[in-house]
Amino acid sequence: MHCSDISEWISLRLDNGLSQEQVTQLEVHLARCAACGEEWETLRSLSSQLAAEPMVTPAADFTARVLQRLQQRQAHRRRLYGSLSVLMGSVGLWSVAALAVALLFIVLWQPLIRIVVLDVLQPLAAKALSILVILAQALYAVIRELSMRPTWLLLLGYALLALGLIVLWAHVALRRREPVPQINSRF
Amino acid sequence: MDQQALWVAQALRGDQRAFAYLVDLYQAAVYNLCYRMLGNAPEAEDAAQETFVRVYRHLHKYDPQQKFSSWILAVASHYCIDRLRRRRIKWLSLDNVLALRPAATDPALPEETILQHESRAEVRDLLQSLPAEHRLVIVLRYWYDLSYVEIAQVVDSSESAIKSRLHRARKMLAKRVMAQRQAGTLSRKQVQEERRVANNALL
Repeated sequence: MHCSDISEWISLRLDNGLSQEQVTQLEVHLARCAACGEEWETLRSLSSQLAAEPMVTPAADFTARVLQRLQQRQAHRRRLYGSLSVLMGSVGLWSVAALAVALLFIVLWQPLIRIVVLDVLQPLAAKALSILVILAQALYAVIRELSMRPTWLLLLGYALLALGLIVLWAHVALRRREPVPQINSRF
Repeated sequence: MDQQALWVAQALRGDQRAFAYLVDLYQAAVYNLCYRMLGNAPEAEDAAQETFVRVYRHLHKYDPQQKFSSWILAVASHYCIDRLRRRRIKWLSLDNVLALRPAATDPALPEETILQHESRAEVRDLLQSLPAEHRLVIVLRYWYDLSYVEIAQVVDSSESAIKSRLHRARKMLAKRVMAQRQAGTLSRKQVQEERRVANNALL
């Protein structure tokens, strides 16, 4: 029997994992081998020392502290989720509004209307308009480019996406007006 | 369905009162595991709370075929091992320490005699000298009285792996105790020698 095997057996012996025959074999070796004997004695006393160690318990009101932390986390998550959806929703809303204005502009952008519009508003809004014209032309170019390809579908998809975001936003905005549930909500 | 399974089912539906019963039931087991793994009360308190937050959040992953106590110990073990790994990279920030102040006193300490206290500190130092994975099997073996198979379930390993890990852990502990003992005898010899020299000088 080799000492390294004995070391393994010592561990098993401490867990009552040896057969009677093996226990006898172990004892024979321990009586003869000083090094293994020392390891055995050390581990046996250490083992009983460990077994005598009590369970350490937390300070009073531990459960209350856990529930408090749980609710803090939930409130935090709700806030995060809520502000994220509001942000997404408003981005969707604004982009839909911009798109509507742009489309209207393109439809109305006929020479006659342009002259009327410019004659009436030019004194007041020449500068603002010139900026708008550049923006609108850019947008027009983009949209015309898009319309030459079958990408109107793309546009439609985008509108639907924006709509979805608005619905999400409305959902959160409406729910926020309800009292925040204290206990029975789970994320 | 027994009472505990009922609480689990209720907590799963979001009933925090049922969950509170589960916390009451397992707080000592979880806290003790965290304390033995991390070696100090403030961190143990934080880790135990965090364990229960995770238990609540991952309750849907609990398989009712399994023992609930094993599952909860597994969650605590994973969290503590994780935390010890992170600790190697970054020590607790000041904020965390301040936030933990209310529970900073160790409730087990006041009634202890000095002797018991010394033995406790010795046990704690010995445990902390082990690598985390080895410490875990020792803790599960001695404080929870789990069999090899049960330990294997908690740490998601095999019975034979646990057997050899326990053996290695004990071997490390024995080595350390024997080394300390030797150092103790040496220093005692040194003291005697110095005393002898001093006596000689007086004569």
